[in-house]
Amino acid sequence: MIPNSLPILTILVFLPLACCLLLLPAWKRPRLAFSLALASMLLELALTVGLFASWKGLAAVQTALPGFLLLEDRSWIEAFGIRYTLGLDGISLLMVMLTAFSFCVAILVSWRAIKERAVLFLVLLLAMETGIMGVFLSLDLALFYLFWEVMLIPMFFLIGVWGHGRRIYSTIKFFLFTLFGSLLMLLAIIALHLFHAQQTGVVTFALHALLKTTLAPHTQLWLYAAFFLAFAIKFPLFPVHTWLPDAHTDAPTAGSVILAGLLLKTGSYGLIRFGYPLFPQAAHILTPLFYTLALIGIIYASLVAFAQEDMKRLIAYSSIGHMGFVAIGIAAWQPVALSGSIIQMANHGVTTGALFCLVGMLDERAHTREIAAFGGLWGKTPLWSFFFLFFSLASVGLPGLNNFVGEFLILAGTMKSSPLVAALAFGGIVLTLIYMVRLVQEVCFQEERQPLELTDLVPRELCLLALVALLNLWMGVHPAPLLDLIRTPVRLLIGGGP
Amino acid sequence: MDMITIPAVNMTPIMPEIFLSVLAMALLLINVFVPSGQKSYIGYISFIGVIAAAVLVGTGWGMHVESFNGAVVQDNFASFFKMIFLLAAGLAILISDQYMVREECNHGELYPLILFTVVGMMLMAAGTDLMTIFLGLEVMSVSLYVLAGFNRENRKSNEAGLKYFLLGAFSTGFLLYGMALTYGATGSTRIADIATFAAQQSLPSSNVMLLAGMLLMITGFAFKVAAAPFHMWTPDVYEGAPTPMTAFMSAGPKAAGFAAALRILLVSFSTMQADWSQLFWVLAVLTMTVGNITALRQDNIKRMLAYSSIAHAGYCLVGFTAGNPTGTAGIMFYMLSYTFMNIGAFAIIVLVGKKGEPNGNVMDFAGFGFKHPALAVAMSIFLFSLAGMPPTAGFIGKFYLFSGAIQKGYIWLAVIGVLNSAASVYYYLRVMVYMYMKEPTEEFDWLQVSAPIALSLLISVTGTLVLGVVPSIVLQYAQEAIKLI
Amino acid sequence: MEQIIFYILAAVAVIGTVLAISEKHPVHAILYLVTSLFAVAVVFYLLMAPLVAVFEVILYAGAIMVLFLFVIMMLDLGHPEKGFSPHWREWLPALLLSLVSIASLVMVIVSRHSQLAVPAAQSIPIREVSRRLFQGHGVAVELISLQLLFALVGALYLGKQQASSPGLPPSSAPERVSGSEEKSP
Repeated sequence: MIPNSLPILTILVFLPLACCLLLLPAWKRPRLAFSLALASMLLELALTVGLFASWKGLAAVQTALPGFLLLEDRSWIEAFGIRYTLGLDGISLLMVMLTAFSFCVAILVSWRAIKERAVLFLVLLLAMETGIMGVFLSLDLALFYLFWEVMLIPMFFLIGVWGHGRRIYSTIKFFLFTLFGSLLMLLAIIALHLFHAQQTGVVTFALHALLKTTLAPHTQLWLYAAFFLAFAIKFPLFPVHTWLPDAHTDAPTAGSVILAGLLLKTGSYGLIRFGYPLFPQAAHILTPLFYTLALIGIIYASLVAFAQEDMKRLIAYSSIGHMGFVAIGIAAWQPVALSGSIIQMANHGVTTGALFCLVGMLDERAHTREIAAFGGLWGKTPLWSFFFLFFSLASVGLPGLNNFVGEFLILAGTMKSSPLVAALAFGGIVLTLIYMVRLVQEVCFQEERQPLELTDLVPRELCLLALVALLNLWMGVHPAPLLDLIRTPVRLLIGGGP
Repeated sequence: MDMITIPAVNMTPIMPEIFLSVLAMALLLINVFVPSGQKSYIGYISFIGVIAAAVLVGTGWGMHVESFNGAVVQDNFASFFKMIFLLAAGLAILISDQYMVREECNHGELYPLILFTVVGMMLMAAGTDLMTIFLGLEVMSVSLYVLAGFNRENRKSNEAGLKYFLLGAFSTGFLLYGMALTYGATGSTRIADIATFAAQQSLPSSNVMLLAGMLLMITGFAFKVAAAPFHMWTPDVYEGAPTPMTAFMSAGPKAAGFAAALRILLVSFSTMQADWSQLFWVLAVLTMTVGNITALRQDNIKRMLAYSSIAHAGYCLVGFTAGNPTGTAGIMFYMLSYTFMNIGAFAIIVLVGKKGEPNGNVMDFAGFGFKHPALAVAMSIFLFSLAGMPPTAGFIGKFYLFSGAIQKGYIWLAVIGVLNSAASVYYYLRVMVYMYMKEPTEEFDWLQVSAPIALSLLISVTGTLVLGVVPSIVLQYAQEAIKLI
Repeated sequence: MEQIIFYILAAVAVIGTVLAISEKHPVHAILYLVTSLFAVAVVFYLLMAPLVAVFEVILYAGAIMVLFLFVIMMLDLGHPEKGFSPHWREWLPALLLSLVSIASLVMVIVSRHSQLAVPAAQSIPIREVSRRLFQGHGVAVELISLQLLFALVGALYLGKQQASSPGLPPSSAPERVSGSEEKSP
């Protein structure tokens, strides 16, 4: 279906960046720019869907690395042994699809909302897509780090320029938090490659070479701690989560969609792809800590969510809770739970992204996000309310919708290794249910509290949400293709058959 | 009566220096006949001269020629640094013209003085005799004192010149005393002879005179590269000096100080590395931390960049502490990157400044991003590079330096380095916050971009990005250069 | 014995310099500097470098300091109205320091002439100095000349007063020249 001679992964990564250059001539014509950017994002989506449609065919052809569907490897900075290595396996394919999809959602939801400096907005969005695609596809640690940092810069501007409220404070906090973690990870990466070079004499940053490095337990623990901190900040785990509510609240809707849908996933993806495989013993030792932080995160985030008055902030805290489940699934490091985590990453991206879109749409109309300002929306804006209810239910894990699949797998897998954790996490689900239902109840069903002139969804928004809802339903009812896709990579990561 | 025979000397190693000196003197003469409104032409000629000198340096790449009885050498190490100096001078010349015309200070002496500074710096990098290095440093410094005070109508500039002169003279005293003690201990000023002497000692650090000589020399160089706690002069001088000269001072002389210190320490005192690397550990930590912490609180952008330049010297000192090929090649690469990004940032400051108030505040950048998008993007690239974000030259440079430190086992030093780097991001971001996230208070309608500044920005942006994305093209030269030392 | 003299002279040089810095009156400061330089000259003689000792006296204590005095007089900074009957505190330290230097010099000369054990050949002749200078340090000699040229250019540039700014401190120019020359040998 897709010819093998094309460097598809490079195209996936750099197509958006190339489109940025295309936008420069359209500097004065934002509408044209929007169309161009959307076209390139749809092209990306089509590419990833095409890859998904043909992944079985690709899997039949052996690549240099087991489990990888596509590989690209070129020399880059020879003096340091840094190579330009991109690889696509089932997990990255899922993440790449999620990326392409989320960016389409992000641009569609900004279609009318971003009026000022629109072209710059699009350029940043496209640049970020390049960065995130790169993170999900790199197999060279230095290259990974490069993309990991690059994706911060557009986000910094997105929140700072188009955000609301204390946008400057929030964006600087976001930037410094994530940068702090990742710089320590950079040191760990450098140290790891030096250890490897000492042992084998080969200077390389390639993940698959570094996996074979033998490290003293003590060293391994330190290096893992640095990686873990970087990923935990992105995740975000308690107690380094404080940047997230601020960033989410003050970000423009598109920014929130991407933050929730993708940036948080880079943390969990990094842990799955790099953290655990590189330092298995250290990861094993730190598992109790990981469990504890994840559980505290779930329960703490749920309790804080109760107290929120801003809808966006509430959903941001719910994100912390959901990512706590992903964390538990990874910490169990067991095929079923890990598959659940990976699926849950995609689910959370879709569901929470949609919730942020809905809040954004409401904010555009009412210019407030206070829960106390609304009430009785079911009667006034039935379409909006329907979707809000739908995605809220998906978020709390209603069977038949997507989050259920992920949470079920995570809990089922964790139950085997640590029943206590699973039981506590289940308590977390109940809490989530309570505050989400309360949110829906207050916003949609109570008596109208303030007279607000609200129009219902316009066709563009309706199409967008309907598509997301269908996807959500499909992932919830028929997750088998996705589970198939990640089966082999998960087995290879854990090193045993499910 | 026997005559003193003056030995035949091979002039090749100092051809670029001779060329630039002759050019500088010729320009001084020409200057007299150029009417005062057209001094820019002297700048253009100097720029072409700098390019020609760069070609001269480039043709000598790969050769190893000693000359003047071992006082000067032409090797890759020297050539690499000479290229950095020429780059700094070229960019400084390009951004000077518009500034000097605006400040009504467009005197023709500027360009010969810049060229002469370069001659001094080149001899510092090429000198293999303490005498040559010292005189190179003096030649450089004397011209720099004048350049710092070049805007003689401006009190701040006068202050900068005088302060730089006084503290510079003070630091040269340290350096000279150190050299004298070293000469006293070893009986030679030739770097190679000192190395031989030190190698013969079973425990060179027990030779108190040699040790004291080394320490005093390090102190002298620490002054010149503005390492804490010898950095006090930097902010005042950088703030007061004409902006293009601040740009030049922050890149060129610093690189020259590193070049000379590298050669002396790595060749002469290689057997005492255990002693000096401990000292540099402390210096590096102090310099990085003091520079970054103080820069956090600056509102004047030139002062902020001055403190940040202290911090950047600190990162280079991390490479010194490591003292291995990775760390030292890292210093060379870093100084090259720093030249691009820092002079680029100063070029923007030159543009944003108004006549009479050229020392801008960070607040003056409010809303700049949407009034002049292209310039603001360039500024953002420079600032991100200074902050060490990929994919820019600053990232690769820091990567290189910290790799060197980790390789040598200085894990904590590297950790302190990256923490500092994270702190530094804050004040660089602050400029961007003002550029993009605050409402404009000015229309920036006075702002004009002359062709030379546009060229310098183009060179700086290209350099910053190219060194960040495909650093291999320069890395191999840096590694070759350090190999011979 | 020579060591004791060396330390005495070193002390004289340091005291002279300290007084030169702390003295407010410029003429006095220069005279203290002359004392200090003279002591240094005697140290050079003591170290078997008569040529440098002579240079020190002729160039520094002689030419340059006199030039300084000349400039100060010309610019009328010398406060001549105070100069007629100086207080003993103003001239006594300088006199004492100079006397110590001269006494040391006499002692050294006398002791060298009386003890033939110290061979005259040890002192470095002019020929040897110039051989070293031009064979070993050719580049340095050229550099110094260039440096002086540009120090001069800089001093001229900074010292040139603009019609619009009469308030520029005129002292900055000679200071620069002196600074560069002080260090260059």
